[in-house]
Amino acid sequence: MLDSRQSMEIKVDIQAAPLSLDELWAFLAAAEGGGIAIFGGTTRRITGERVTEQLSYEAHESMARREMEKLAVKAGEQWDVLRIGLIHRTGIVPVSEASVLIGVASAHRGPAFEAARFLIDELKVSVPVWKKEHFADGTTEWQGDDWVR
Amino acid sequence: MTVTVNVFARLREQLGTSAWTESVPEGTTSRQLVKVLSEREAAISELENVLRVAVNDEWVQKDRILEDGDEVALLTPVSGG
Repeated sequence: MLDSRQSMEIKVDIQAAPLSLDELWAFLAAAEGGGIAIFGGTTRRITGERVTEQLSYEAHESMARREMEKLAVKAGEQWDVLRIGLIHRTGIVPVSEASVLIGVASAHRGPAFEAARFLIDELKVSVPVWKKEHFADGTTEWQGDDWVR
Repeated sequence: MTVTVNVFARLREQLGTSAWTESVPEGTTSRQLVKVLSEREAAISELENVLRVAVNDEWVQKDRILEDGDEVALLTPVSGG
């Protein structure tokens, strides 16, 4: 019997360049499954009453890659998925551009949606990346006051 | 023995450096290292309660015994995504 879990492929990257949806899509589509779910996290303009000009991100790169790979492996153990792509951007990310792309390809849509949700939620908890707000009033502020768990 | 200490984001900015080497006695734990550093650096002291430690790219408990050449990372709460 074909066990897709054994052949799951993972693509993890951290890069300063804008994230390419086309590249991620090509990687996921090559799984030849029946569904692809992609989540993109983007720089939000308005948070409460504050206006954001841009965000900047910094990573502990070697560790962040390892943690992202671990999350992908974990998702592959929990859901029947074919391919997982996790890409995080570092440096300046202007409003409306993506800081993170999470993509999952699976035979059927359910596991793709569920694994993508798990991956973005867990990435925010355990992957060593930090976000700095650059507000329109000229002030800046590192985010992350405490650990989620 | 010698370990390298790596800091990121707000801690990197406050300390004005991203990495430095520390000479520590054999058997020093990550907790002891953080204590020594926080006594020397106000920025580390202020964040000591929320700092977590990774060694060689892996999360570790605070009583992890350090080894010569270890890459120690002092991590503030993450905020990626």
